[in-house]
Amino acid sequence: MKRLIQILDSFSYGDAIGNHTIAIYARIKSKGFECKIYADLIDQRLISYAEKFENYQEEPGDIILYHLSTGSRLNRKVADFHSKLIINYHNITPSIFFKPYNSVLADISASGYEDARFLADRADMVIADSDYNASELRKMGYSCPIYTVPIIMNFDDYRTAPDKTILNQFVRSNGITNIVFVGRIAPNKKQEDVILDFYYYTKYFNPDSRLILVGNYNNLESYFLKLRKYVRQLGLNNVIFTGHIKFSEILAYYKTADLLLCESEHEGFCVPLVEAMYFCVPIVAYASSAVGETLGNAGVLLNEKDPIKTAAIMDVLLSDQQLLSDYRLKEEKRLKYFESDKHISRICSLLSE
Amino acid sequence: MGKLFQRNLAGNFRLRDVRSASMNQTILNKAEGKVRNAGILPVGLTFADIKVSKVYILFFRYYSKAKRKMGRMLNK
Repeated sequence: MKRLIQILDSFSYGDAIGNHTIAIYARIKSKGFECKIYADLIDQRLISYAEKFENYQEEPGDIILYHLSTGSRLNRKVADFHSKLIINYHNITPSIFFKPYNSVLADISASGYEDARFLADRADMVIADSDYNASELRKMGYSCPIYTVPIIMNFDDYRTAPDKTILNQFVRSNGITNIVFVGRIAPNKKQEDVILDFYYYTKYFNPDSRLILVGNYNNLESYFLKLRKYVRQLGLNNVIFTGHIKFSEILAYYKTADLLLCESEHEGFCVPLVEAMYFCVPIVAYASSAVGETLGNAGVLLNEKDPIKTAAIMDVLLSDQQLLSDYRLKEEKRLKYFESDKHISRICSLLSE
Repeated sequence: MGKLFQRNLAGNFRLRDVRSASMNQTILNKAEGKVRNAGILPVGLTFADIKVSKVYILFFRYYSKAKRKMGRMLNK
């Protein structure tokens, strides 16, 4: 039996890459692979899935699937093995975004890019989450085959019970429109642009509205505090920062959202877009990096940052039931593309090549 | 302008023309009409103007860390 060895820097509970790794682990076994996961940092809740990286003993015929998404000492260590090395590239946030707020994160990100370049000659194959990620690697000098397979999402997780308290507190149809963005509080996500769009929306189009920024701000407290001050100085008292919350609470925010507004300027895939599609939440998003290709035609894609126009677009969309139902149909169609079965099969066939 | 979205071999959309592909012209026209009628005054404040004191950031960072630690301990 072939051994698939998945290696990643941090095996975190509930994050997109952690879930993707587990989905491959769970599903690839039935396709005739023995699967193991090794990581430097392992969340206590995932300890039954993974072992510490140091415990990995290479065996002839191993296939290593390395999840590359950040600067890490493992980025160079994986190059030392003799096995077939497949890189699953999830993208690295460019250091320029972090520089003003956290020099350590900026350095980690810069070293991640250096390592990615270093691995260009060692990789036997790359699986990229998006064409955007693939093109980034080609620019770095990767000449091995690169295939685009979207991140594997387990929609069963979204069928679990949402948090009741939040559902009751923010319930749709209580006359207040919930504008939501989901994603860690980080400078590349441009929450300040979301706030400014919302400022015009609530002031000129719909005062019965609130903005909910779902996401944790660990290690980026300076950016978070700046956002909070910005909200205060704009005179907004209807903006909520949730901080780090449980998955059931995230589900509740999606369930109560009237619109997902994304102004992110760097995404290797952008999972929240697909999550919003799952919950039939209409989407308005700025077309940067991989956002356009993930969204497809399932939402309103902005080609410029014009907060006043964006606010008006939100209002047009939210006040036209026909438009909303058209976009919901488009979301339903687009969501089918992200169903995991065919993508798992594709990964299996790529691993067997 | 040609075809707006083109699927590649993996089935992903490749963006050809953002503006007319997803944001249909009707939405844009209606939005522009709304902007004209709303009498909007652009806000003078920019995000770059916002300054937060370093001492406060440090305090907040340690306070948040302590809060997380406490939360983890209580959950155990």
